[in-house]
Amino acid sequence: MVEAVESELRRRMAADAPPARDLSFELAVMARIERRHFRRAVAGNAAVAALAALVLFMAAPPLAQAAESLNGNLIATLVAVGLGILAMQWALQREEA
Amino acid sequence: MNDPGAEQAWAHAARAGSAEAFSRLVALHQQGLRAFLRRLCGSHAEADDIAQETFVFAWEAMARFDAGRGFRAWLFGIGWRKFRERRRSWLRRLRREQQAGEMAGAVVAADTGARLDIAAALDALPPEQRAAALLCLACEFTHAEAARALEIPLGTLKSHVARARERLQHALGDPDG
Repeated sequence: MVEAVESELRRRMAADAPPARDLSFELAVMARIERRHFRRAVAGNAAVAALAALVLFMAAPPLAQAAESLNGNLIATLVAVGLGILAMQWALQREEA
Repeated sequence: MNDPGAEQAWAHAARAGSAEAFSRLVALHQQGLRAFLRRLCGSHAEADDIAQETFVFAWEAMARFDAGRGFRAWLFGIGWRKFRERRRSWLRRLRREQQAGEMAGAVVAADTGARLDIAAALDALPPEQRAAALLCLACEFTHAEAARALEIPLGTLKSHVARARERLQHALGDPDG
C-alpha cells in the first residue's frame, strides 16, 4: 500500500506537471530577471543624478568663486578637468563591474 | 535530474554571474519545481508565478548559495518559502484553506467508508505535511534533502511524512492506514 500511495502521488504529479522543456516559461523567468535589473539600474541612476544635482546646487557658489579666483590660471583649470574625467571613468568602470 | 556534475558546474558558473548557466538550471528544474508548487497551491497560474519568483530570487541570491547543500534542495526551499509568504499575505485564502482542511480532516476521521480521492486527501493535509509528502513521496527527495529544503529538523520531517502517508493510505482505502 505504501508503494500504491507513492505511485499514485507520482501519477498525480506527472498528470499536473508542465512539459520537460518549456521555453515560454524559461523566457518569462529571464525576462523577469532583466526587468528587475533594469528597474534597479534606473532607480540607481536616478538617485545618483538627484544627488549630483544637489551637490552641484550646493557647490555652485563656492565653485563660481574659485573659478573667479583662478583668474585665468590655465594649469589649475586643466588639472581640475583631468580629475573630473578620471572620476567619471572610475564611476563607469565601477558600474560595469 | 540527468547529470549532477553538469548541474554543479552550472550552479558554480551561475554563482560567478553566468546568466546562460542559470538559464540551464531554470530549464533543468522548472518542471519539478512547478509540479511541486502546483500540487501545493492547487492553482497552475499561481504556482507558475511563484516558480518564476523563486527563480528570480535564486538568481539574485546565487552569491549566498552553498554548493555543498545541493542546488535542488536550495531552490525548492526558496519555492517553499515563497509559497508560505504568498499564503500569509492572502489571509482570506488562508482561512478558506484552513476551513477546507478541517472539513476534509473530519471526513477522514469519520471513516464513513467513502473512498476519499488521494488528491483531495493531499489538499486536506496541513501545508507542511503536504510539502514533506510531495518532496519525499513524489519528488524523490531524500529525507535529509527535504528537511534542508523545508528548513525543519529531520525528525519533524519524518513525522510529517509518516502522518501524511497514513492519511493518504487511508484515502486509498487501506484498512491499516
